[in-house]
Amino acid sequence: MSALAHMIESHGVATVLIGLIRPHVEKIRPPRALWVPFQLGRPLGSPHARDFQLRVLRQALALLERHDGPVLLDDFADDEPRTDDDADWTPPLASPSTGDADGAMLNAELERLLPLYRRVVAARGRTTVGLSGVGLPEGVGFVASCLSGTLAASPTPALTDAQALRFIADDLKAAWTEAASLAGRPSSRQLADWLWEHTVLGRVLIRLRSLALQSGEAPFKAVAGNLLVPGARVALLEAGKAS
Amino acid sequence: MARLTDLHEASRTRLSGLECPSYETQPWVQPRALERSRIAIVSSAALIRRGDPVFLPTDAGWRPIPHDLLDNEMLLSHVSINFDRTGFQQDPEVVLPRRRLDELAEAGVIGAVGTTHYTFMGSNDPNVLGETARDIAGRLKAERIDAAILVPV
Repeated sequence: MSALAHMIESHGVATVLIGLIRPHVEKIRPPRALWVPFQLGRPLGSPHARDFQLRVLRQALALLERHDGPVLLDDFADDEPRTDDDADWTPPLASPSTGDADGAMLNAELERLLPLYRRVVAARGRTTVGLSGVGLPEGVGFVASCLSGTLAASPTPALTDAQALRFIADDLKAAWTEAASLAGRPSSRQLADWLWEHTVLGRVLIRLRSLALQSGEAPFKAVAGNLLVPGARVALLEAGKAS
Repeated sequence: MARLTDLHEASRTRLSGLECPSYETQPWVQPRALERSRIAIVSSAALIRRGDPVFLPTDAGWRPIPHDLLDNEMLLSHVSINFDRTGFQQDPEVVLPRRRLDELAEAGVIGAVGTTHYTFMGSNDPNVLGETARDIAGRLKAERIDAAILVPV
């Protein structure tokens, strides 16, 4: 992003960057940048923290008023609010965390989750599910089919088989975590721990990753190996196996 | 939370090792006074309008995001799964602060907000983003944007 700031400014438009990775900003030296010490994926800080988000923007935009650049690099002093766990949050469901998870279990979990998901969509008036263009029940069926150890046929002509796995998995993860945040203010860590440690979906995706890594099917290996389970979670799983 | 020391070792190693371009020139454009400036957002989140094709890996292109696009019509299709998405799920302002900019315009802090914002996929090698940068800058100038705020994920 720092590079794009440099390039856009070179084409004659003033820029100010919000930076999440300070070493990258230091190396690339965009014209103006405000480094924020927030979680990756949250450049404005916590959701629904209106005043805090305004403070971030005000401090970033203030760099546009200075005349002493280039290069201007400022730091935002405060951590994002609401990163602590919500002690009162209760996970919407908890599935057995051992044994192989299969398609029937995943379908049963979807059935339990759907009413909550529909409630949160109605309450928010939006959902981030929809990348694949495939409905949740059909998506669950597709993922379950891949548990055979090979990529199933894409249920949509818009995506290849491997792309379908990637974006259907994204949609399912989004539906699960949206449903789980209906009540309370769970932290991102609580939601991730719940998804990967206490849901059938998490176990199915981890199992798919393992199957893909043993597969000779290159697209399956590339997508399921790299784009289903976050790297930090994979590292935790591997550390757990080693311990 | 995004201090490298706070990240898991795998993420820290990957991000620390990313090759960063270096430039011989140092561009600088002095915009108009902030309270008279028209501001637009450039986001690296690979946002799409619901129903549009997703950004696929290595897609170095860009898309416009209308300022008045309904929140429910905006999806995030970035290739990386190594950043939090739950903030965006709960509040799109975390990634694309359109309403916050409106509030700053209403308060007189900035002059106005652009009618269109722009998005691309930030995980690409910067060396393939030259055309995208040129195109976005051209659009911003055509829309009389005084300054762009670049927002990563």
